[in-house]
Amino acid sequence: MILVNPNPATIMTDPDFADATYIEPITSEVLESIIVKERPDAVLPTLGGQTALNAAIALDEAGILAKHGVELIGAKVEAIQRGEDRQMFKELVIESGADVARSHIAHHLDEALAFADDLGYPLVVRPSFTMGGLGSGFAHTPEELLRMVGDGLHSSPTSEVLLEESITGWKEYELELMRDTADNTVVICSIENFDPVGVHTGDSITVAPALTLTDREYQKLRDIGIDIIRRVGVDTGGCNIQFAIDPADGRIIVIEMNPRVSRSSALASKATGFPIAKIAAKLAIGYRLDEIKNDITKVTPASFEPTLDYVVVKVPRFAFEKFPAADTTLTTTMKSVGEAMAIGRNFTQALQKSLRSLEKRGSSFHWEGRPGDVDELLALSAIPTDGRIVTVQQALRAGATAEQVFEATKIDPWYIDQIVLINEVADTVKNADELSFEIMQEAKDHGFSDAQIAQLRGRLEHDIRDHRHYLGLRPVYKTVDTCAGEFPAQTPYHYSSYDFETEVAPSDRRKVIILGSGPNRIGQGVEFDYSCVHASFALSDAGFETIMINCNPETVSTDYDTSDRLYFEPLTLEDVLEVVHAESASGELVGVVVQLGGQTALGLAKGLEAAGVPILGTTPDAIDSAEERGLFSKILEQGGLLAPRNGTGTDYASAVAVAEEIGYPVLVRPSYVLGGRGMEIVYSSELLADYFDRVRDQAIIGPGQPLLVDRFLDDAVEIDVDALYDGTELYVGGIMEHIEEAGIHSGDSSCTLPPVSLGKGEIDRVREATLAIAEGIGVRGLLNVQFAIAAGVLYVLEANPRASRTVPFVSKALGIPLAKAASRIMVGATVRDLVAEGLLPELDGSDVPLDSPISVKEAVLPFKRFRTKEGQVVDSVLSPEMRSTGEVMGIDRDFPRAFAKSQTAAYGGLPLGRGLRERRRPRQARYRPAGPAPPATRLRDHRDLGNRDGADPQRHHDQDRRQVLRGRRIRRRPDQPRRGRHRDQHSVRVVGSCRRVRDPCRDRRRRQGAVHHDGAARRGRGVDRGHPHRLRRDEPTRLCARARSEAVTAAFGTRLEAAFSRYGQLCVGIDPHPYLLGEWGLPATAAGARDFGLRVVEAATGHAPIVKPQVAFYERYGSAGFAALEDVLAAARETDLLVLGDAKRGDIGTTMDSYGDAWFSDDSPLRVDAATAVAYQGLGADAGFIATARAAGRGVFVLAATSNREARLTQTAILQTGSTVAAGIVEGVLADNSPSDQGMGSVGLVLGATVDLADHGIDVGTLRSTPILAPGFGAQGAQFSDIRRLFGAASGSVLVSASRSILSAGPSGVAESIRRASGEVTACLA
Amino acid sequence: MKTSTLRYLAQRGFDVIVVPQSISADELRAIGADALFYSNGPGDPAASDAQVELLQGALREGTPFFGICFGNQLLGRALGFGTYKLPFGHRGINQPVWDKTTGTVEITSQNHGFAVDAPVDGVLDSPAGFGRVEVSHFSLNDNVVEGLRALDIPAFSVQYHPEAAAGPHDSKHLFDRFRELVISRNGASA
Repeated sequence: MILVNPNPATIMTDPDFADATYIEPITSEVLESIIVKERPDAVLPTLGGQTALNAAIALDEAGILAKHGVELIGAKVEAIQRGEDRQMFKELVIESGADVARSHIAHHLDEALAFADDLGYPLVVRPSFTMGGLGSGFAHTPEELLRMVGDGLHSSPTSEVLLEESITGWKEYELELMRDTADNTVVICSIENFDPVGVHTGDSITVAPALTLTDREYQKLRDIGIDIIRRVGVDTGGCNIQFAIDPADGRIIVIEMNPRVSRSSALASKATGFPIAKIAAKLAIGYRLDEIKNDITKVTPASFEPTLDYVVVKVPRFAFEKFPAADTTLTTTMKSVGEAMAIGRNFTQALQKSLRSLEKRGSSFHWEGRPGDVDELLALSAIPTDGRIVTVQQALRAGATAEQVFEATKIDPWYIDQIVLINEVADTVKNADELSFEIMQEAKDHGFSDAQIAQLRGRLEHDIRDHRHYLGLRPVYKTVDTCAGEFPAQTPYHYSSYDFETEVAPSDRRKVIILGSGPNRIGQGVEFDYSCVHASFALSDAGFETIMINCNPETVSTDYDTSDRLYFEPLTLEDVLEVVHAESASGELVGVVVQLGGQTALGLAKGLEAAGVPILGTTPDAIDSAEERGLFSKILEQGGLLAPRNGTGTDYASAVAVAEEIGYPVLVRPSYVLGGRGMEIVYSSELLADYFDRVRDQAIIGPGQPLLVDRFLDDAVEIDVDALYDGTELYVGGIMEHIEEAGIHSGDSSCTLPPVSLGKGEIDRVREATLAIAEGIGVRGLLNVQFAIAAGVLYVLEANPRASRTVPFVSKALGIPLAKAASRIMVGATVRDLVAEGLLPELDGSDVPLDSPISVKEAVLPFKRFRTKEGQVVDSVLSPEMRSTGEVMGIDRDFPRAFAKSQTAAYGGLPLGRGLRERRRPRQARYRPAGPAPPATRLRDHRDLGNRDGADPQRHHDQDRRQVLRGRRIRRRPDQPRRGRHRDQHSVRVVGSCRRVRDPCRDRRRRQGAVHHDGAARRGRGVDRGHPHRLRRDEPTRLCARARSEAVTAAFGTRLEAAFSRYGQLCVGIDPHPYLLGEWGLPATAAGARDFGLRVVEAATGHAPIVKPQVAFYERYGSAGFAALEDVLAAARETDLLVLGDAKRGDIGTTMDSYGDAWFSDDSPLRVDAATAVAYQGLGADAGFIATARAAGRGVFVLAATSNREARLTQTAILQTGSTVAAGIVEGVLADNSPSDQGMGSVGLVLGATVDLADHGIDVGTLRSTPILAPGFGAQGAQFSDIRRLFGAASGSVLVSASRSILSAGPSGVAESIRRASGEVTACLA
Repeated sequence: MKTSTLRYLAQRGFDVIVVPQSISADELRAIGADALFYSNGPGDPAASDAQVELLQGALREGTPFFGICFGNQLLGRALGFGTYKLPFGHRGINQPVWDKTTGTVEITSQNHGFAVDAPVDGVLDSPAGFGRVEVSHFSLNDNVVEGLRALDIPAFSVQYHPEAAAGPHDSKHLFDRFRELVISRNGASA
């Protein structure tokens, strides 16, 4: 099993999960190289969402699957297309006798306008083949239509947009189906959308099972669903079909299907206990449903339809507060960033639990104050927005009738009635003389929290809780078992309910409760879940019974088999305390882990401690000391550490005073926030006033919640450290260097691990500072510290004694299981113990070997999803407030490649061309319009750049970054923060926004890629094609890559052999002949020759083992020509191409020795891996040259025979020894190689491919293991298919040299040409 | 009996005559029906000797037969097998059944507390002398007999509810199978 995914934050990319794991961008090029390397039998694309499906289609269309004999399983390409191509799908639905919305496909704007006249406004616009409904929505007017169709044509890879009659307001349903090879088809789950059609299902409140359908209606959906999955031909696996039903007449329309496991499948799996993805994978490899056991019962088969004796409600979590300009109206484009799910015995219970699971102010129903005006509330609820359900509840509370609410919202009357019921129960609670057992029981049956009851009664939450406990009223825990109790469940997957008997089995083990991180939101995503899951695994291995509490269905922690017990519960103090109580009934509860679940879990620590629950690891008081400014300052003082000058203010006046004292710009942030909520860089008092205006509504600043004001460090490098501390010993997990300068939230900035520009001195300082902080706070477990280095001074920005979002990245990049180790430390293990038992590597993250690969983390940002009401893309300027929703990782042997991979994975590739604006640039220069940038200048060696003791950091940052950016000619990320987020910078941001959405040129190329099947080659240009890094279960994760240092250690022959095994035997000539330069559109100058060389190097990287620049074509331009050649050589050194300098030097004595120094010595700018030489003065004349090469681990190719007619005379001349000159040279080389070289020799021969070797008296049989440079292929007459005939047993050591035949493909075709030639050579040698 | 059973039979061209369970063999013969259908009960199959004898008579005369639920239990008895009360009855609309004829799973609607006692594998000899018989369907949850098929006489039955309502429609095709059986036996006149 080989897994490809560039996301480091997910458990699945842990090396333990697959036989081989590639943290690589999912692009055709990368996938092909992995296929070549791993030779898999099949590719399974139906579990990785739309990204995976699209990649599979691309692989298939490019013929890559066929070429390597790899099968696509799970779904055939035709089936994917039938499901995703809207027109095909509609025809198929109609064939099955079901109905579809009337629609047309438009390819251009005029067509769209004409169709709109037919369908009438409003109508739905949906671009084909985009994920998450991107770009779809309603057009109410021709103007809106034009805008949306324009965008849609742009974002659809096939330039198609579907226009459709509006079915807004209809009831919406989904079925999750599974089918196996024997055509057994079952419906796993029905899901009903609370919000009617018009809101993306990901943004809807959804309910499982469907509650407002009769059996007849449901069976009809089921019949249609099964018929469609068969017609589409989803061979095996899961599939999701969406339906709309007209509430007026019951007309059923099939909206769409996803022939793959989707977001809804994940929800359905958690809702039913039926593991859809797991079963889908088994079906894909040929199992039938009846052959697979139900995971929960372990005795019954998976060929059944789960029955629910409970109700599941999922609610979306939005992050509009992060995008103040964005339109908050919910449409068919998904805008939510996460979700929470809750389970209850009835709808009201599940609904109220789910709303409080969102952990967001105002997300739950309330009965505070006066509800407001009925008409106003009704008007508000007519527009679907975040929190509409609360508006509906308030409208009903204000006296609106259920009919009025239905008219306004089209929410099914049954649901409205349920909210009416909740309001009625609230009235009962509020008006009761006393809170009797019966009233409390009723309130709890309908999901009221202690907090809500407290609010209704005007009491404190804990008073209500005490009263409830006094009444003896506590929840019991029921089980999610797929079969409603028909068969015993083997998996303890529980939810609370105020029912009668508990189903929690007693246990006498030592238990640890792990608090999860709740719904995904910006600043708190699956990275935290990763840590929770690791803790669960590690503690389970250490003999504890692990108990997980979480309410996020998108996580691994809520898989029923991750922990020993799972409680699917809201992460509120009430719900957690009840689980603690239930689990305390048996066994020994050792404690609760709060430091891994982000702010959600951390926020519960004090309440739990107050209730007498043991908190594992860092104590709540210690956690406070890191958050509380005064306490933290003391800790820094004791450690002799500096923080940027700072102060706190609780209102505008005090904040301004602080800011003026320490000087602008200042960084302001409210205390106790995660993800940089409300964090900004402020440049003046006016802007500070504006800041206070904007955050006023959020009530995040005030007495007890001070605003932290820090001096903002301009032009600083930010460093993130994750570390473990056991009370005595510090273990550094990883030191990450941000690629953006300080001021961008760490979650949004990309970072590199190990740091590429810190010297040992800095690393030691960072380590010491981290230790001082860990001691000062009293950390037991994980600690994350952010530092900045400005002008050589180390500042501490902040410290968080908890898991950070970089834990998974560090774990993957260095193979240090931080969260596992942290959880063990929390239950008493020491760092030393963990190193001794092998959980932690001996060397910690501050001691990374120089030859370790480089990992780059890049944030994935959701700006594209958000638009203002006017339809503009929202501001995409990055700031100290985090906005990213995910991350990817690129890993490779050096920084440029790793960075390129991270960009490819995040954004689909680096832009090409001359769009460079440097990322680091003095601030005063930032506002300049981006002028044309210089073309790629010389690439510098890593060796010159750092990782050396005492290197000067400042210089090295600049050099290194410039190197990256120039080398790739890119400008990729959004702009840095500048003066506020204000209108004066409007023009700058518009440019930023446009770039962000997508560069139209690139997009066109992408579309062509999809249509013309040659996309892979085109898209491949300029993007890294380095080697996929593979994490193996049986190998240490610390991969050994080629040393980044330039000093060559292995002999040339050995390196050549390795390069052959990786990339085949094609030697790509770099011959910038003037006529070729002309063909390439380059000037016949040194500059032209340099560009030519750089492009060939770029094109050959990853496809050929070696390039051969023809020195004469550079030499002809004199010193400028040599400078150009040096640039080309430097560029090639940055890749893993070997370079063979073709100058055919020949002379005697010290002259020849000097040539050796020129081409081989470590400090020569002309140094190459090997060079050609002539030896017609006798091989002895070349001895010095060869010796220099050998000493430096380099190689020499001695000319023995070329095919040129005029050379034959000399070559076939008979020596005194009786052999020909050519044969004599061959003998000399063989003699030179044999004693010292193992495997391939380092001294080789040049033997023309069209030379009659026998005529020259050369026996190819003797040449095995001698490198042979064989020019003459392609334009000069020899064919690749001749290699075996010409060289026989020695074929394995031939460098098949071709230049003109490849280079004549021109700059756009050269990469493809090399790839093809390389493939042919390999095929001919196979 | 359930209306949907009558509806499905009528939809397939049957003229359906509903008679009480107390009908005698002579009265049945007098109707001159092309085929016989036993509905879903309820009742204890072990206590329904008269209906078993009536069915045996019809089977001997070669009358095509289809039974559902209780009808399956009575066919079982008529063919000479016993019946027994299940420790846990099969209830609900999500019961997976293996159809040996098609080699696929059907999700069925079930509501039975009794079952036919017969081995689910291989071809059996009818203890009552009706030739070869096989268990055509069985439960994937607990291997209980869910259908019988006589191989030498035109008779079959299922323990579950192909007429569903409530429940899935996976097994509706059994009514077509009955129609074909009757046609092949009696000619196209049906």
